[in-house]
Amino acid sequence: MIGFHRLLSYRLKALWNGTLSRQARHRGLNWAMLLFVIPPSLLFFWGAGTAMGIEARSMANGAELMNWLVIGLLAAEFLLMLMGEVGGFANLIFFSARGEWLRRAPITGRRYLYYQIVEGVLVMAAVPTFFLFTIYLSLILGYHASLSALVAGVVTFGLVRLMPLGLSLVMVWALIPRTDRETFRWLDAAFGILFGFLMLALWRLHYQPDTLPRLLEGAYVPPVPRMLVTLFPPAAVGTVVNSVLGDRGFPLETVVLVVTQSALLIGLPLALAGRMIDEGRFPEPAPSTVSRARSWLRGPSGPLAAMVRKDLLVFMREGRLGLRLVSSGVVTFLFLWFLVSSAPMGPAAPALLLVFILSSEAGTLVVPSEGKGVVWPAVAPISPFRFILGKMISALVLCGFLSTGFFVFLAAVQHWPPQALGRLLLLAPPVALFGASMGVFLASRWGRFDWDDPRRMLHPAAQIFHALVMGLGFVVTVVASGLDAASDPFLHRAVIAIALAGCLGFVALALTDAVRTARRREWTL
Amino acid sequence: MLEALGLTRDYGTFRAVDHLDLVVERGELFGFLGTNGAGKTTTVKMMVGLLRPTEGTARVDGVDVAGDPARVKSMVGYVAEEPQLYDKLTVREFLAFCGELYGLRAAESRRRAEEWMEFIHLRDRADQLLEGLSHGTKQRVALGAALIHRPRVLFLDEPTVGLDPRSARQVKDHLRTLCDGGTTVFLTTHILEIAERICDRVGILHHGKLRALGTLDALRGRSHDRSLEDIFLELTGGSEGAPSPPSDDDAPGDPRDGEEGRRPA
Repeated sequence: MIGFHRLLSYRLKALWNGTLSRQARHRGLNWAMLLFVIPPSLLFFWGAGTAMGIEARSMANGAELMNWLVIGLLAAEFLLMLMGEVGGFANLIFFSARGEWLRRAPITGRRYLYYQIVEGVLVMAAVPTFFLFTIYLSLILGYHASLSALVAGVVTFGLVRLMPLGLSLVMVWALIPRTDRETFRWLDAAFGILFGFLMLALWRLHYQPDTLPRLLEGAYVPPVPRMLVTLFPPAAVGTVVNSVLGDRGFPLETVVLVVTQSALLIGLPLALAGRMIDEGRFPEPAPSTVSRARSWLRGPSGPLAAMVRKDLLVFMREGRLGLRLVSSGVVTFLFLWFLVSSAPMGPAAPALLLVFILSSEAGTLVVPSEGKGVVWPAVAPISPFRFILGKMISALVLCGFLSTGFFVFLAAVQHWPPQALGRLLLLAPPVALFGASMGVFLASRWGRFDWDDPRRMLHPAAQIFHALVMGLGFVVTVVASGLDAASDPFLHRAVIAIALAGCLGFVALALTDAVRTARRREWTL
Repeated sequence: MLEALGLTRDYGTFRAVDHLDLVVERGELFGFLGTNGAGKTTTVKMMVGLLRPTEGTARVDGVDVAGDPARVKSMVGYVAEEPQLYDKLTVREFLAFCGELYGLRAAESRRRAEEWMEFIHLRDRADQLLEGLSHGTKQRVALGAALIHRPRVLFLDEPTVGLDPRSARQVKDHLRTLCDGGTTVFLTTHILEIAERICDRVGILHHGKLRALGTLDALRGRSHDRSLEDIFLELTGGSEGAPSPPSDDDAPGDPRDGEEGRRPA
């Protein structure tokens, strides 16, 4: 029987050759990440975490601050795992080609589950977890450099990483074999959104809008509310760690709560899923039918309209693509909530940031969403210009649809001054064009139109450049928030004109380049 | 109708297609035979405008593929070996989408989609997502999608791979009907039975070079009435016989035989 370490080594090889870089010529990206992205990031997080821990130690209310920081980091890890694990584990266990080979091998159901879970826990979302773990551990060591604190921290982090897995397995157990992988992907999104809003609701319930900035400054640190500890597993686990850090004795009541939560979230689901696999309850692929009423075939004629209509249908039905957009939207929305709550900028500026991020994300997704089906537009008499234009329109429609939903929600809970709304209506279209064209440009450049598996090809490039997009988004919003220069109307208009010209200039350049790339390429399908 | 003049394609130092000269007439069903890796798919991709030739020219109805690819693409239909479809569209949506890609009005495209679903016997699955269809059914959908704009030339890359005998028979019948209606069909295959049964002429490609070209009768006449299989094997160097399989000594044994996993000699 193959040893676990051998299995993991194959997985890591596949990760290096596949997920990080599909072909040899792209391994440069792997090395770029290993040499230039990961080490400086680790150093930064290590330094920041240690400094925060040492600073908290010298504060009068340092223990409470540490409690919040530890719980916050554990909650981030919990949500990170949750927002990808329901579908992720269902996929690993039931739908992946790798899993198929393993299931055929002469191993027991429990061992199969063990292989997949350990692999999933180690590999899934490994890079962001690595960063979170670094800052978490350095924070603890900065505050309380002892072996017991280190062990408590590591064990707790592992426990929190496993808890979403339990929730995933419960979903798998409850839904298999009555559903398909798409349902699990949408469950990912739903879980992430629900827990995001649960956190927000708890936060809003107990605190004033300026709690977060004041918490970070250490000026006012309230105790962790009982409700949060009881309802949110990372809060309970984090409180135990904090007791160890603060040498405050054994928190028997909280430990009992954590053990109960862990048993419910990890032990029970594992037992259920193990039994399910032993019984061979695997999902049977069933044909999915779309009712003709839901089949959206009406609309304008022509190749361009057909491309856009097809893209929108694919996005609505492909959980993986929708999930990425929704995740971006939720993360941005949470960020905006705090921004708007503490109001360092006018409401239009964060709204523009939302537009920018959603449109750039949609732009990077609409090109590779073609997959190998791109052979049909490739052999059709549709020009590269129309192809790219169709992708642009799809990205803008998707961005507009999602942004509107978020704006409606935001408008319901916030007061929007008329001038902010006017500025938003004036600047949102060019900002969306800017973001979407940047996304299409990146997808065509870095995806290289190599349709062997474009999503994988694009993945590392998109990750690296998403940071760039975020940075540019901040620049855009800072410029937009600076447009309040009522004292100098000429400067105000000049800044708007330059910003618009810059946006449109970039749009033209990016699209020209994307069209040129599409025209030059050969279709190695 | 279809011409290749000195058509050549290199991948780095490897020459996949080597100065191919070929003419296929209107309404002809031409079979392009060759072993795996002979260069058949590369040739087809150059003819439909997916790949640029390193040297030479391909023309469809007198139009240079590299010079005016859009005009050529509007005249041809292409079915790839693997039916690469959009999984999240239904059969009806996909056919209508392909019609509109070729410039048909939306209403006309929908009407033809209904016609083709009837023709390829998929009306009862019209609203089913493509991801749930079998390989053979997907291949039939791909055929319908390639024909929806009524192309003058149809290229098919291994059209019967993975089809059950009934579906394969349907595809062969469709192709014959199309040719009788004036459509030129260029199909690649390594299944000699298909070439023998339905093709008007065949070409045999080996290592990128055209080794034989003509009607089956002419090829047999030149080879002392031997079968197409014999001719094919002789031209492609496959008549030496297959390599012997790994011996039992090399194969992993039955785990039930013990820890060493080796069967007794």
